[in-house]
Amino acid sequence: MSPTVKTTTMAQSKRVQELASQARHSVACRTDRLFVGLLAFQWVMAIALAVWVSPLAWAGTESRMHPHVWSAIWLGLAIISLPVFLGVFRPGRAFTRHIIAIGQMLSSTLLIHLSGGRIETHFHVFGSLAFLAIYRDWRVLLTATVVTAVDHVARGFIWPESIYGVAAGADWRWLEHAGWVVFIDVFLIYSCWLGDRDIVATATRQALIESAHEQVEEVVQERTAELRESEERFRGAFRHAAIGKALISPDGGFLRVNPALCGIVGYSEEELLARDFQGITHPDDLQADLDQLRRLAGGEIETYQMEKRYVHKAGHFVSILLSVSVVRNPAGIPLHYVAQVQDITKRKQAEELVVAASHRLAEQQMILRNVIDHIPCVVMWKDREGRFQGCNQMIADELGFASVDDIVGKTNAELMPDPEKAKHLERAEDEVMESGVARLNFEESIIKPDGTQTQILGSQVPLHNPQGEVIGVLIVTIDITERKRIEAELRRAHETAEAASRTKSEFLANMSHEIRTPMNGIIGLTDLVLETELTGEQRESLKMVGSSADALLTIINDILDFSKIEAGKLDIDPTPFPLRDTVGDTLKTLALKAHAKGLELACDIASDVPDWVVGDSGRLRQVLTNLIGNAVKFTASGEVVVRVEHAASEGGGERLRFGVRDTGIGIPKEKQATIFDAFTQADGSTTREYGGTGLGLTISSRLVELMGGRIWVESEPGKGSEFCFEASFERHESSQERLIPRPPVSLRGASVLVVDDNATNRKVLGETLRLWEAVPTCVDSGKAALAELRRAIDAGKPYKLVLLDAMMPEMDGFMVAEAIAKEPALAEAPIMMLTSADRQGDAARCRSLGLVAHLVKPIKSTELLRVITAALGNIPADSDATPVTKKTVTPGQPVEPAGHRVLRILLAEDNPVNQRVAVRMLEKMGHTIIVANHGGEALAAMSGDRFDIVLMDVQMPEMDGFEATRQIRENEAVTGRRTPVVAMTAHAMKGDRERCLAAGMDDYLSKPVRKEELAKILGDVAAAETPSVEPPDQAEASETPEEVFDYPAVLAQFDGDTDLFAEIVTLFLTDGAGLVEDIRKGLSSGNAGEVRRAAHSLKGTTGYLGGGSAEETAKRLELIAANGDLTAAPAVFGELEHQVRRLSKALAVHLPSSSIPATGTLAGAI
Amino acid sequence: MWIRSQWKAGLITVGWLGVVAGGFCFWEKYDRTPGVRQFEPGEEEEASPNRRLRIVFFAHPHCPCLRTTLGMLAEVMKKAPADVEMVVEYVRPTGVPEGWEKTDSWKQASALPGVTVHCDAGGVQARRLGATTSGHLMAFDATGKTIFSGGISTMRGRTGRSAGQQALEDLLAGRTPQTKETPVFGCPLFSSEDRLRENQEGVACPRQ
Repeated sequence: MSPTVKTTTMAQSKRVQELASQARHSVACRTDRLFVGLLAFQWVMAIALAVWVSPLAWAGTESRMHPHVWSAIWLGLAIISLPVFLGVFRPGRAFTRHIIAIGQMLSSTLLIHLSGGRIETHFHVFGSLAFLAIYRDWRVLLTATVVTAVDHVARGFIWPESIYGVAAGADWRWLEHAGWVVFIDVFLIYSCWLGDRDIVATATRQALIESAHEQVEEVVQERTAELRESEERFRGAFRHAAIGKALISPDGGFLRVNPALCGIVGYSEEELLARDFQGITHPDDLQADLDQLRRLAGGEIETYQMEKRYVHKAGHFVSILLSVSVVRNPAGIPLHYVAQVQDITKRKQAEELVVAASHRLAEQQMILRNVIDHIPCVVMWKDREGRFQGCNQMIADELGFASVDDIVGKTNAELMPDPEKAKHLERAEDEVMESGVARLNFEESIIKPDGTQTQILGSQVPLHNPQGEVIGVLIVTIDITERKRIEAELRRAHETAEAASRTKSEFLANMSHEIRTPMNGIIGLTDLVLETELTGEQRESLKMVGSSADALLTIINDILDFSKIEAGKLDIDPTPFPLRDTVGDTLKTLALKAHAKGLELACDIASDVPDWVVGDSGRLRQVLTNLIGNAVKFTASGEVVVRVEHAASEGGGERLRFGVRDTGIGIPKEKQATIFDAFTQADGSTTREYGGTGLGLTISSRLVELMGGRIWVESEPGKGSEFCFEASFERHESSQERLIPRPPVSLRGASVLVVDDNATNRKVLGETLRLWEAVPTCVDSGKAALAELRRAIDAGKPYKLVLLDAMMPEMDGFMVAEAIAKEPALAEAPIMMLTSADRQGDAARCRSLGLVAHLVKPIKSTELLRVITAALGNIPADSDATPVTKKTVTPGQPVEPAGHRVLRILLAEDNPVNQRVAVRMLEKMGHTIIVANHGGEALAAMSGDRFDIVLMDVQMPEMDGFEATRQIRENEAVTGRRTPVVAMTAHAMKGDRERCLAAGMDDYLSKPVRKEELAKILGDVAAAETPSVEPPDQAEASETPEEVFDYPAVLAQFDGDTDLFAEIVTLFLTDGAGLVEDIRKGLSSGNAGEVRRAAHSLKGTTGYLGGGSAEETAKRLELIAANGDLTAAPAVFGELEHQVRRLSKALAVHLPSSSIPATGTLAGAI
Repeated sequence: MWIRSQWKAGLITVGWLGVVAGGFCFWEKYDRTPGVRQFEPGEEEEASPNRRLRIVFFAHPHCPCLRTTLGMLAEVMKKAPADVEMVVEYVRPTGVPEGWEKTDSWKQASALPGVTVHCDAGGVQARRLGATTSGHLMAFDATGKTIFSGGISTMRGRTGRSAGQQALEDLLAGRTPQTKETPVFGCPLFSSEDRLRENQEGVACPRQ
């Protein structure tokens, strides 16, 4: 017996005992309760018996309850009390049932006693034993028997007759009774044993049942667990299946769905369970699905699979592959359907794409076949052996075959009449197939079967299989016999056209040259004559000649520019340039015209616009001049405002927006689109009224386009126009540091009153002053100015400076100044007069009114700052400073000889007029001129003489300027000496300047030659050459002021205002040393920005004062500093110091001794 | 909890059995207590030469013990010879209606062979002969001499062999009984009122 079985048996045995014990206990309890009732019943019966037998005890007529009744009551109660108590409160215990047995038997004794020993009552003994046998405990029977035996023994002794119920007792009676008791005990005990055995048997069966039940339960639990696990697996597999799954009721409702299905149709699980599959099936697919489902339900098929479409919750259709099976009950009735849903939308789409691609491929193949067949080329492809695998019809036609099939399988040798050519081509094809490199655009000459020779252009391209192996070659050829012929013709035509173009260009150049040459004579001689003594009428006539010539020259320049535009030869020459100065200078050139018409000319440059940019300043000036000139021309009254600001830029450069706004006649809407076309003006009559070629805006438009921008106009007739253009410039390195003129400390926070009736001027001046950290207050009239001045005095905050416009309605600037002068309290603030018209006598009036400065608008910010600085820095508060004076230069006043020193100049010029003009100009400048009629003469002259400069005409007979310059440079390579050569030509076409410089020339002058330009170049040359001619100090010592600067010319720039000249010179002598020192400090600290700023300021100042050499040197230094590399700066600075010293010395000559500043200035250094 | 103690259980059992046994003892004492005897042997019946033996049995009509005594008497009387006169005198005390004495036992006694049943109205005979307890049997010889006086039951309501029964059988058999007097077990024939009235009326009333 295995331990497990033994353990099981022991456990079962124990369980049997437990169950038997429980059964016995149950029987005992039940029997206890039975005897409780039985004892009580017997008690009552005993009392009844006593009452029946002997109810009363009598004494004569008296009676009382018989003592037997009392005995039955009380003794009976005593007998049953303990058994009943135990039966009620302690049932099931052995003690209880033994007490009950005793009580029961005592009850028998009581009954026997009450009945007087009647034999019937003895049956109660047997009945009691029988009842006690219900306990199935033979020990209870023994107890009862013992009680009975004791009773009978005792009764036998005491009542021998009554105990056995007969009057006469006998000795055998006890044996009879004992025998009966034993008899019944034996059977009852046997029955008890049988009963207990039944209990045990029942318990055994119960235990077995329980054991079996437990085993069954275990099996059931195991099976349940397995079933649950299996169900969980099914649930998991169902829920987490990658494809959609659903259980569907026979009526189509969803019984269970998994998330994948929900994802496919877009419904949540709850939404889907509330629907049936019919509701989400595409209507077109529903009937087919229902048919299949009916067949499935009818048992015709076991499963079915179909592709159909669901309607997604979002409304679109989802293609699915549906697999359905059915689950039936044992009766074969369908319980539900099992559906598996696979989303095949992408596959269907892919299939559709494949089908579409197949269709397209077929179409493309068809098209390709058509292309191959109809392409005007021979197309063929061959295998690695050189056999034709396919071709188009053209080659079949050319070779004389009816079909391409006749060609397939053949080789070149079998088809071409020229065996050598066939081999040549096959070798080439083999080479292509071997190398895998295509042979493209080769030309061959072949002979057709009909004997004609043709030129073909072909390509041999290797054909690859998908594995990349070369499987053949594709040959495409085209008959280019005709094309070759046409090309030859075209080539000839092109050469002819180029020759014509060259002729045209040469004609244009010649025309330019031929026109400019006489124009040079006209303008030059007119200027020369105007500088002589003339009558008023003569001077007026000559001025008209000069202005006409200027107009003609402008027209010619426009036409030439337009020709360049048409020829595409107009280009941009980008160089760094100061934008503000350029715009300001441009305005100044037009200021006189504007002021002559009484127009306000203002310039508003946004503060964030850089000072320096890289671009073509000349072309920008040209566009601005054109637009501003037009604005002035077409504006009768009001203002012309130039505005510069940043435009939206996508690139890294600076994109600026320029606007020229006027208050002129305006341009009708319908004309605005055409005014930029050539030869177009807004109104045909405008040409007649205002003049002009109509090319200006066209040229400007093209120039703006070349500058990467665009131009447009916004205009309203009668109210004015605004021409705007945007242009792109490159950032100049120096623009990283804005070169806003440094405001003086005294200006910071200073209150300045701006008085101007023009709102634009007020705005510009106000913004400029704020930029310098001043606190401007702008008023638009003289009365308002006076009121404001008084208010400021009353407030204890008087104005530090007043900028006063001269031209104002009602109360002009001078009237305001007079009113201020009359009120001492107001007169403390320095007043600067700004005029729009440079009227004679204004300066005198300013001086008489004690004004500190007199400026002509438009005013550049640098200019304004300089003057303000002077006013605030040098003029004391009580202001007894010398006001600006003005002297008018007398027309026709002889001009002093120009130039810094007398130069020896070689003029190579073949045209007599030009010779004469140039000679006269140069002579008037005091130079020595040697004239050569052509390049050869020039070379000859230079071989025997030494010149400071050569002015070389480019176009000369015998030897032109280029050749002459080239030979000069060659000669100089031997001598080591270099003579500047300046081209002087009437050629103004694109590339002329570059050609001149490339030929070794140093500069370029365009005819007609302007005296100023000529003088500047000569000045530069003189300045550059001077150090090499003689030592500086020695040269300086021998220099006259006139050799350093052109006093009359400079004075002419100041309109003869010697006071203004003296003031500016004073400023220069005062500040110049500081600027030179700044440069020195900048160089020592390596601060290129400081060097550039100071050089720039010095350049401007020296430029004002005619210090050409100093200006040029300062400019060079500024450019060097702007580049950031100061390596070459010290040498240039030394030269600049020298130039400044020379200039200062020369300027000091023209100053009153009282005006020469003290030491610490340039004058002190003189 | 206390019941778990076998000692306590034993004590309770013993106590309970003691009470029961006491009850039976008390009962036994009652049953074994005879009635008060007031028999005067000098009082005799009149002589009756025709009868060898005359037996007078006094009974209370309602005495429950009488049923047992009559049963024993019936057994004895089965052997009675003809010359024996057996009279059962049912005492009807004064004050009760006539017929009060006609009970089941009257019928039972009447059914006995050779037995004559009389009503002793007012208990005259009983008083005369000195019988005070039901079940008192007196035997007179032909001379009227009392030859036996007493009860034939062993105790109240109990059957069984007794000295009185034996003496009666001896008398019937013509033998001289070994004992002439036995205790009588039964109900008193007269009440306390009867005795009081007897004293007032001068009627001799047996002492109890």
